[in-house]
Amino acid sequence: MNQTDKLPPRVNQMGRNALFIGVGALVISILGFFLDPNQFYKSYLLGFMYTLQFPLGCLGLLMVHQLAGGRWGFSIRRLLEAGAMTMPLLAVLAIPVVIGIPSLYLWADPAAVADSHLLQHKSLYLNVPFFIARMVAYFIIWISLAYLLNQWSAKQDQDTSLNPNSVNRFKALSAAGLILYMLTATFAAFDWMMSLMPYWFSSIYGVIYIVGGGIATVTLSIIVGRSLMDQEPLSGVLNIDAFNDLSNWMLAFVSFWAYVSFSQFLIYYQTNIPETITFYVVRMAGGWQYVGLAMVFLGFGFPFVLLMSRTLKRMPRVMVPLAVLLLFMRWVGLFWQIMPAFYETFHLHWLDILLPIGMSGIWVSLFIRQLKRKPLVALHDPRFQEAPAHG
Amino acid sequence: MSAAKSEGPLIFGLMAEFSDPDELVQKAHQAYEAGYRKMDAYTPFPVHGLPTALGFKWNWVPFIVGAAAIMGGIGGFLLQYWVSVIAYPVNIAGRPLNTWPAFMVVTFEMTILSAGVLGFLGMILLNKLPQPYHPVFNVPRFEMASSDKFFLCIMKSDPKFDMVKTRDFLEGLEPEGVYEVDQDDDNVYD
Repeated sequence: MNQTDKLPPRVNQMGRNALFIGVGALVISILGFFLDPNQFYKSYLLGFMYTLQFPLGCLGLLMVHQLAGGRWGFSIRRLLEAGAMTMPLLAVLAIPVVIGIPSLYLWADPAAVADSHLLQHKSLYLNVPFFIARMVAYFIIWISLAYLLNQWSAKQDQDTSLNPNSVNRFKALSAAGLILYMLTATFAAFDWMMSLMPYWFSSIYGVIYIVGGGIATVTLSIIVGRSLMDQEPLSGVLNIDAFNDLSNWMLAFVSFWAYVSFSQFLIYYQTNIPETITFYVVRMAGGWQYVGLAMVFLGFGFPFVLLMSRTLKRMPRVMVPLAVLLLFMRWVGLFWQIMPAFYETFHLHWLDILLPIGMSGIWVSLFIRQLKRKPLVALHDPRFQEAPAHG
Repeated sequence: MSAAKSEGPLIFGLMAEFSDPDELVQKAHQAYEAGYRKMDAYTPFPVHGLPTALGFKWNWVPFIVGAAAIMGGIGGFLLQYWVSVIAYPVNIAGRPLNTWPAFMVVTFEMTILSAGVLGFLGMILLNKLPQPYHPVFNVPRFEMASSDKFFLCIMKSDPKFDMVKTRDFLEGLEPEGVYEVDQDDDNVYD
């Protein structure tokens, strides 16, 4: 287990292709910036929120694993650690969002605020300096958590004592970290996406984004894990039973996502108050309703039915295409969250496609670089010996 | 019956005793490889891999649960539809009579309830429970199956069953003992 683990050529190739496609897409997107800067920022926000869900989801799931243990976590811990470690890239990618504030957020427009009594009341929270300060705070917290969990895990690889108490600090940090994480990620979703419609609010909105990040993380783990599970050292850990666990995670996140999304919808539908129903009034008309229906059937119904079957959950050649579909539906879902805030009728710009591809492409190449820095299987975790039997 | 009586007491099958769960899984697999199909294993706690070793492939429970879930969901929805649209149509805040999003909560709960209850009942019945008597209890050692021993029983109804050969086979598995499982002649199990 001590040899330096080389990634299979397939995965290295994936990293190179992702970098090539990512840089290419971003270069072409710059052309779009000169053609229509306002549209560029809107599409950029979509790309940013799409890419952010990977490191954010990895960080969250990593802390769940450190806190709760389990076979599934040992099989993908290094993937989660590598994903969380890419958070500084997202901090850099957030800069254009800040520059684009005037194009994106109504509450940052002094004329709109002067006109609206409600926005004046909200300006204590929704103002540019506080918005930027919060953004900095979120990234400091996320990067610190990711850095500590990675550092300690690398140290654990060197520590052969297998002292059971050595996992306590992982648990303590993850317990406190998960509380901070849920708060910061919730407010990040409020700030960056929900405040696009500043009159509207939903307390579960952040959870919907976080759970969506869980879908993205698990699908990524299934796709990358599939490429790694055929050879040492991951073949010993990510066996078909652990793969089944990942498929179960996918079922859990897809179901939970549908549950919170529908809860939000039902509450506003039943309340039927003009201020709070606006979100759905826009999104259930003008062509947007078909995007929403696509989410219901392809983002939940179809995967849910497939994931009922234990046989299918143990077939990587079915689960990997399903994971790809769900990754695409994550884009559809965020597109449906963000774009109706700007356009009353269905509006798809080529930048909406190109920028998410560009940013997530660069993210994937950085993720694979991070993956190479440590052995693919965490060594000397005292919990690891008993984990395979207990699941 | 009369023919069986002339051969002595009726036999349900032959039972071998083991003291280790992993050993039982391995020996059950050997018995399956040797061609035995009608057999069962008895353990004090669930043993991982044992059903597969016995050749257990599938059962009806998932289908019962699935059918119950679909029927419960449709039934739950139709009940609300009938109440709100057909039997007592009341205009509430201008919403359509068929307020399907509001019906989803009860529909969902009825789906879960039906799947849970019928799945449980189906499991009980498919296991032929409640069953106050079973021939395996005629083996005195069998009470150890609820403390720390593990038993493999090959039934007489298996086509390959032969009193002499099957006993030799079980002895060959190096168990701690092989027992004949008698069966009362007025209460025949197969």
